[in-house]
Amino acid sequence: MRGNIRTRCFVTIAVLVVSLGILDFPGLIGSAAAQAPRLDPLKFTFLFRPTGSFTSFIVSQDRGFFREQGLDVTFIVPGSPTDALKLVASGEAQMGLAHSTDTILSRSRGVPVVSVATNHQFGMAGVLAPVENNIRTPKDLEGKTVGITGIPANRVMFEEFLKIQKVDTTKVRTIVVGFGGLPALLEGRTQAMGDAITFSEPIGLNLARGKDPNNHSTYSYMAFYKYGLPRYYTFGIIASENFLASNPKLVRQFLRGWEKGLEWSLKNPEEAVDMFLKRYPSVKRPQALGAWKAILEISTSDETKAHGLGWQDIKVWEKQAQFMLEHKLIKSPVDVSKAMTNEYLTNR
Amino acid sequence: MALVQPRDGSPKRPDEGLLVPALIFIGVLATWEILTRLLEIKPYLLPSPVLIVQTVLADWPTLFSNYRVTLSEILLGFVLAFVVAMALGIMIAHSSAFRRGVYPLIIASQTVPMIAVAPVLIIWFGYNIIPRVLVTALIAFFPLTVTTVTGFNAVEDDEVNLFRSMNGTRTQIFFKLSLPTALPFIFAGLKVSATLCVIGATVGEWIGADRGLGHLIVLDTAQFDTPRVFASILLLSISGVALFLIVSLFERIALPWRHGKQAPDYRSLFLPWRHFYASRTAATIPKKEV
Amino acid sequence: MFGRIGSLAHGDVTKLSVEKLTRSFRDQHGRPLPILEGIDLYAGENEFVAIVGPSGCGKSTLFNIVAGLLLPDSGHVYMNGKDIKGTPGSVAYMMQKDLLLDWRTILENVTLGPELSGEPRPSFRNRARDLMRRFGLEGFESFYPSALSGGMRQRAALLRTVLCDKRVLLLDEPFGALDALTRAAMHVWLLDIWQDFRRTVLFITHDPEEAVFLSDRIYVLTSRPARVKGIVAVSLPRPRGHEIIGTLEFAQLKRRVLDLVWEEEARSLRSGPSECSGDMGDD
Repeated sequence: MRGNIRTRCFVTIAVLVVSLGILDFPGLIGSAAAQAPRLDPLKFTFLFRPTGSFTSFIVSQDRGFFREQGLDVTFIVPGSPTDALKLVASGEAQMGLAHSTDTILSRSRGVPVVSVATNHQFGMAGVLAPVENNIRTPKDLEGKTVGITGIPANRVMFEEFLKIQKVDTTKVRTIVVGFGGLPALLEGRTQAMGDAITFSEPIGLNLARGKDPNNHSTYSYMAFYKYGLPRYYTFGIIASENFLASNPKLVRQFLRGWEKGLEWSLKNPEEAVDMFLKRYPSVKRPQALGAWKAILEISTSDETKAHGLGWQDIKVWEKQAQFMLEHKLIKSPVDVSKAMTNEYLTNR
Repeated sequence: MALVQPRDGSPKRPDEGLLVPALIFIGVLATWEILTRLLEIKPYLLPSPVLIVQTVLADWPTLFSNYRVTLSEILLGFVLAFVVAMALGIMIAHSSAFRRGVYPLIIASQTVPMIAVAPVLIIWFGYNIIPRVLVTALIAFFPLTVTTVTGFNAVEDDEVNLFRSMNGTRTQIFFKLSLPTALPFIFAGLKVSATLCVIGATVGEWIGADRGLGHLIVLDTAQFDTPRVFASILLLSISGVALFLIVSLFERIALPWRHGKQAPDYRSLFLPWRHFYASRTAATIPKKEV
Repeated sequence: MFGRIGSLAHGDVTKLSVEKLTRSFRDQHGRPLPILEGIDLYAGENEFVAIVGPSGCGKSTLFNIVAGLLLPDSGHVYMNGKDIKGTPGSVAYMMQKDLLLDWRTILENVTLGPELSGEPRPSFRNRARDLMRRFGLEGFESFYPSALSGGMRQRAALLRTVLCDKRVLLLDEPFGALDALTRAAMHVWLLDIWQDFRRTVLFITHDPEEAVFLSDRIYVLTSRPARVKGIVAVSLPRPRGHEIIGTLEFAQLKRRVLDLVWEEEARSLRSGPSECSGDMGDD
């Protein structure tokens, strides 16, 4: 009965061949984008999963602003923000996004990344409460339960916020809810979120209640930087010291392309978001549009009007580093003049 | 199946079939559905089965295109896990030096959290499918290695002596004795590995991906689209079960002696039908005598 | 004594001879444990030789050495005058366990020997099919060993041994696991087969009656360390049927073997139990 072994092999191979039909093998090999030989490739890593807040970058690539500058940019979606930093530091990605806090933190550990532009001019964290909970001033938090994510930097800011605003902390009950802040708020287990992010939770709150995502009247929001905390930048564009030294021209080209893309996206938010959604169709439109519109509000400032989009004030960085040192978020002082630079931006 | 054999030697009572298990299954789903409505559980906390199925149908294009990506990772990871487990299993079973040196490392590899390993893999292999396949294989290869080692160790000395007394070479002993002995154990490990590959691929996508069901789950969790999260989970579960069944099917084909007293006659599958009937009726099961 | 019908007089041509075979193992404390000490035995062409001895290790070790699976500490094993020490494949060896491989059909099992030695498949398949009927296995060619009774499995193992096509067969208690009635039937059947196939057979058994019924000569071994205690020549006529068991001569021969064996059993009981661990090749 030797034939049965051969038969078994035959059946095995047949089943394998059939099952290959449904696999996505062509997609795996990666669409080798037909690029004009003159374009320089550049890998740019986001912070984490794609959200509407990254719209300007997608627009810069898909509307050809990068190509005008001679660049072909591909995007990496990392597993976590720290992964993104490591990718840039190691050279696997040439440039990327990083939160300024993380940039300062990693520089204090010796990771050689430099912030060459800031995406958002103002901080995005603050206290969020549905309007019916009547929390309009910091003092209203007394006697309430507040949910926080537990991220150390955010916790520090919230506590500092309470202190500066002279709120009696013994009367405020703070619980760590991780990333379940919004459900906790919606279910009434907390009355406010202690470190909500402007482009995420308020929109989620509105959508959960069937309202327009950018309707500001359904909630009250107290941004930290408006209540006494040092102003700080959040998402910024970083590159490694190596890359800056070896390819300064590429960095300038990237920033120039991005500035144009950002400008266009600020003027045409709906189309910009549509482009983003074309790339990442799994993201829902209300969320993406809501997020981008929230970002609109913090992408420009007096400084950008004077110096151009993405400009960073070194004094803001100094204050932030100082704040982090005082609150033991970093162990040793960081020389911010090495941590950030504006010299690659187009209008300095 | 009846637990007690009737004493008169009549054949065992046949299985109650699929009816009772199906009823239990539907009962669980119905309870879920009813509770969801009764307690007015919000869909973003726990969607009802009906809503999940609706989501599968409504979002099928998105789900399927992501599913194909994850499926490739699952299958490639499975193949890689198989190759690695076979190589390691055979070497460990045949060399005690290798076993003592490598086994502890292998066990340690199972305790490493993928989150720590992720950026290293991306830096070494690039931002593509390779790190995800590696994570899948890393999660899935261990049970298969263990069962393979057990399988090869199950070869009895007496059987080896039998072969040696007939002047069998080491190659013959390996292919005609060790391998068939190990095969049932290998299949047991394969079944476990197959289901682990599904988890592995999902975890692999969490460490950095912009497509795939694992990635979709992360996205949908952040967007509070819990029904679609459950829809993705449903698809992944079905894959796991399907893979398990496929491996079981191959097991049935590869291990005929465990499923019957007589070797299957595959040639009859290819003969013309009339010859088939002729050959079948001629063969009668001989009386088992002393 | 009486004439032997149908068998050659032993001593004409010595097929297999074992000279001064000595072998010891190490016990769990590392002390040397002598198993065989200076064993001398021989078997002539087509002679049926039985080996009887008290329970304990030794006999299977002897067979392992003759089969080339184990090297003796000293001594020689000759076949046709050539030293076959340490060379497996010169004799066909049937061990106590039938060792039929679960994943092979009966036909594939019995043809293992020629398959391993490279004989072309159609040729040995045909040889096997012809013999299956003789061995009472007709119709079971494509069945797995799980379908067979104990007696049938032993017959299949024996067929496998015979199909190895060697001139010398070593049978290690092939009927030990069978009940008395089955065993009696097997004895007659075995002699019948042997008449046709004419090989030299070495046969280990605990049962003196079995030894007398089957063999031309019986070696009785001492307890550990094993030496040859005595040799009993069995000159009963062949072919032998069950009726021979009742004869006076049969009883006398059996008596002689039993005396030798009981003497050894008594002696070994006095000197304490023999330690024998499984991996020293006990019987």
